[in-house]
Amino acid sequence: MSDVPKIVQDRLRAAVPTGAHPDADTLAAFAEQALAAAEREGVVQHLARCRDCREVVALSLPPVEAVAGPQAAADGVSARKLGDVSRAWFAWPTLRWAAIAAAVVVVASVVLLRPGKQPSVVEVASQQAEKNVPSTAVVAQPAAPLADQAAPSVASRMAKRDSSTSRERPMLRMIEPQPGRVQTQTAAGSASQLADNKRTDSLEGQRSYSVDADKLPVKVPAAPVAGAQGEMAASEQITGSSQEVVVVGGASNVAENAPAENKLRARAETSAPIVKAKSAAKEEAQLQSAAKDTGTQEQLKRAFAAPETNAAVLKAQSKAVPAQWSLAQGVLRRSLDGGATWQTALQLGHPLLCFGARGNDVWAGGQAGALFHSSDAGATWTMVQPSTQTASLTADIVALEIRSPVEIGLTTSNNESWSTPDAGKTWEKK
Amino acid sequence: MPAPAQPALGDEKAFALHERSGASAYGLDRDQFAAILREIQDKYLPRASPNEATEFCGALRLEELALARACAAGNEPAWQDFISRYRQKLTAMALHITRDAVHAAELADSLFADLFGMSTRDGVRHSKLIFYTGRGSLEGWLRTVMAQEFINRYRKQKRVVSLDEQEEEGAQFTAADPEPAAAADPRLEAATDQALAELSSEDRYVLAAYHLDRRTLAEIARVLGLHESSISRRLDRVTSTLRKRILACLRERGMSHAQAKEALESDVRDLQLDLRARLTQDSGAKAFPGGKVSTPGTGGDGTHV
Repeated sequence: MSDVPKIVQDRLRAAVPTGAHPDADTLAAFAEQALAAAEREGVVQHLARCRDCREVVALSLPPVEAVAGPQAAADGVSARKLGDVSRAWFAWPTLRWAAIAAAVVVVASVVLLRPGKQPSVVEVASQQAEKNVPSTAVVAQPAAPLADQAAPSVASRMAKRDSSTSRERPMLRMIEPQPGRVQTQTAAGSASQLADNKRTDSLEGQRSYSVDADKLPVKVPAAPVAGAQGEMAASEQITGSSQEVVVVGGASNVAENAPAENKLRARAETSAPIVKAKSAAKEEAQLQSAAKDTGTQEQLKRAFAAPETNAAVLKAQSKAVPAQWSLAQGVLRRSLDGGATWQTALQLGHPLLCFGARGNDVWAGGQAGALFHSSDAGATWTMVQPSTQTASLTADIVALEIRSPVEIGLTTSNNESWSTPDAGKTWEKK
Repeated sequence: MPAPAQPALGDEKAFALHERSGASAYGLDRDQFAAILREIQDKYLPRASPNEATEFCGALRLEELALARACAAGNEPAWQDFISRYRQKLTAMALHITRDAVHAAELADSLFADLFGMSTRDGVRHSKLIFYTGRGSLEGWLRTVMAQEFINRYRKQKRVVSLDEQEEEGAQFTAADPEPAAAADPRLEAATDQALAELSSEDRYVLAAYHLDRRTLAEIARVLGLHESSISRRLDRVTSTLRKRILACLRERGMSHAQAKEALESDVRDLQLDLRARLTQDSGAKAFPGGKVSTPGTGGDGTHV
């Protein structure tokens, strides 16, 4: 960044603030982008000349770690007081070595994780297709519709998948069942195993973050296990971080949950009313655990006794009682019994301001650009950060309109209009 | 006798907003809430039309406003709600601002006392929450108030520095402040002022925040609600424009291009010499390296003849 001449700094410093200092309310509203244009201009004019007010505004910005997105991470890194250290760490000479080290790690991982004698997913799937016995390889099938859950068709499709697909998902080999070996995998154990992989991938261009679930301010209360949402993970119940994952519904439900691997998932915990959203690592850990549990013939029989029936029951449930939604005191609530009882579906550290629901698609907007999307009637939530190449949405989202299943419109407190034509993958600001 | 003027915010609208705010749960009836809304509207939009007043009041954080004003009025359920929602956040905010656990606890407790209204005037408890008007979020307001309090405290502490501390810092016998630096060429000052005055407020803010306050691009971007890269580009553009404008203004004041460039680039204050350091350095060296010197009127061994 080019420096300005010293005389410019001196003259900027010598400037005298015009008028009285804005009150705390106005400064807070300014920092939250909630002022009208004319009033905002007045505040900026004052700030340009008043060092004290600039200091107050800067200090009163909320901490960036509250929402750990890429923008937030960039903000955190570039703190000026640590600027020299950060710059040194992110300078090319350092990055060069980091890149080399990363390349070595990748090569080593590929070598270590690809032992030649282990059967690949495709092989396992084809073997199982021949035996006409569904197995945990079904887990590898993402986004399988419920109607397609019949084991033979899944296995045959698995067999058709080319090796490039299996390369894209190297994790899958780790969850293959060991023949003749029954493992009881705890959720915590599998989570830590997967956490080592520390991956942050994107699904269909949707942003997803590796979020430390404990730090995430999203609080989702326990969803009822017998809830009537066909696509929510009602079949899984974790009774504590160190306890076993119990697969009740069978592999069809597990497969159904597979596409949601990048989402923050709501998990039922009996110990606390608040269930913390977990990241993709835990999601896959549970899938692993489920896969290993279903490794036994007994569980397989139980799980695959009537997959169509399970799917039909869940579908019927979801059709019978559509979820109802309400926003009260900044908390999004959901009723699955026609409004008789309500549960908290989404609660942030600050109040939500608007929501929109269409079928199982639910969007909720809140302060400081907080936007969450659920495509499974509130079972899981994905944080979405609308941004264009030049701007990102940081103002409060005060109105939300679902124009079509993929077209969403947002209005912010500073009268910006944002819209997405593709369910949040890309955004346009007007 | 003239009839009292109708308030811009009609009763019907005010009551609807009261309904929306949930203020009745905190014991605020609709007349009280309408009075609060009118007071806020009078403060910020004194000459608003009914439509403007309705729009303005509708955009306020009504629920948080009701909570804050109910707390200020001493409503017990409101306080319970406030404490459950903001007590921990206050501590976290203080830690974020002070970066020090001890000072954070002190700052948070002090603000909480102010919010509760420990200070009494005429036997009446005065809570700081009465000043919240719902324009921004209550949390944002609390952060701002805390930041103001922190800056005020910092200033007070800065003014009162113990002699022991001064001694520790080696500043017991501080020299008097040096003479103010020689003023720059008045034509340069005038040209700079003119060029700065031509900038937009936002450009000027970006310059001041970056170059004076040493804020990061990310921090400035968050304040202005823009992307970090926009701020970076803007800073480059403003710096370059400013330089050109100052040069142009200097030329308008009779300087040649070369003179203007020289005046801008080589600030006379950069050339100041630290005479004290130079003198100290000089006196440190032996004036008479040989130890003896022949002076007129003395013998070779220095003894007076």
